[in-house]
Amino acid sequence: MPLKMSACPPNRKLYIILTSVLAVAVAVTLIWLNRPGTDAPEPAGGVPVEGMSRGETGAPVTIEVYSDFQCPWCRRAAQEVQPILDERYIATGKARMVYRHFPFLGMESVWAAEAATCASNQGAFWSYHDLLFANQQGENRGVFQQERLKEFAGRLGLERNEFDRCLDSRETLELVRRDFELGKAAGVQGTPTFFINGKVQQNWQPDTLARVIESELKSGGR
Amino acid sequence: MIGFLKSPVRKAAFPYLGTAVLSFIGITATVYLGWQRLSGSAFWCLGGEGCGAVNASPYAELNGIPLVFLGLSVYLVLFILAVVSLRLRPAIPLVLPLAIFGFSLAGTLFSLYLTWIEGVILRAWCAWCLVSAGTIFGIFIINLLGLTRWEGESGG
Repeated sequence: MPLKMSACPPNRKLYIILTSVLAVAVAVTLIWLNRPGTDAPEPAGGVPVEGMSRGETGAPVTIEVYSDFQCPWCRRAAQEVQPILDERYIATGKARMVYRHFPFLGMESVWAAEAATCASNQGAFWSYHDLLFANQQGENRGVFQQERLKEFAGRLGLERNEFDRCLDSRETLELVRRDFELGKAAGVQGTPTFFINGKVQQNWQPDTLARVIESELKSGGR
Repeated sequence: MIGFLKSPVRKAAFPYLGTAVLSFIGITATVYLGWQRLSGSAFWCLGGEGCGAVNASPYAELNGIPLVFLGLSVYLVLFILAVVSLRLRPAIPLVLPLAIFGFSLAGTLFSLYLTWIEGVILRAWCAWCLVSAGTIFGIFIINLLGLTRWEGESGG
């Protein structure tokens, strides 16, 4: 059924063209507004983030946490302790937190750590970190198999081809292994293990960590 | 020029009837998606778990507003415009079919983009979103034909 534009009076043709131009402009605007910001730092509790660290680079106190994405206590630390540290010390520029991989609970721990590092390559480590802990369901039950890890990346709007390539090639395994070896050398035996300015903290309750951080701040940090 | 927009032309019922029916399907799909989003319950999704993944992605919002509510608003507007046009037949001001055409063209282009996002970026398909994309595309096609062929032949 051919279109008969010739049947349209000239004014109608003009209005159809004008309406089409307006509709295309509206669609382009919507598409532009819908693009998630990829260059801006990700919103991680209102603190600046860079790779696997959060907080100002020059902060006087450095908090390192060795963690496993399948470990329930690590989940608790991430969901309950981290927001308190964020609010009191990291957002205020007094401390910086660095995440270190210590995947010791099985292959899904290793895959999750590799995937989080791939997400870090796209500036989304902390969003991915939060999503992994939110989806934690026990050890090696298939939740953190590679296909699921890729799906998580999709949920966050990461560039899937790049993420999939990164995960399939296992190019981040060496970085994960390096963190693990660093942890073992520092005496980490379980997760989560916190270090504040290089000193291991056996008790990671927020008030205890806060006391140590305050003490470090008083002594002038590092 | 403005007077021309108000000039009545005889119109075939088909584009408006079709728009009303398809808009109703679009309203049903977006109400379901919106209800799932507000209630937080699991999606009933044809062909897999894609609906949850797609609707949890950052592409499911526009400046904090869930896209599903934007879609619902567009379908409601299209439904109202179609019903008003049917009520005014056979003398429908040109502004009504033009408005339907414009909304459906913008909706079709935006849906094409979202479908691309599903397939290429998210690698997850949301059947309800595809129903919505097909619906808006259908509305666009019948109104394009309505404006250029049927209405051109019957009046104007």
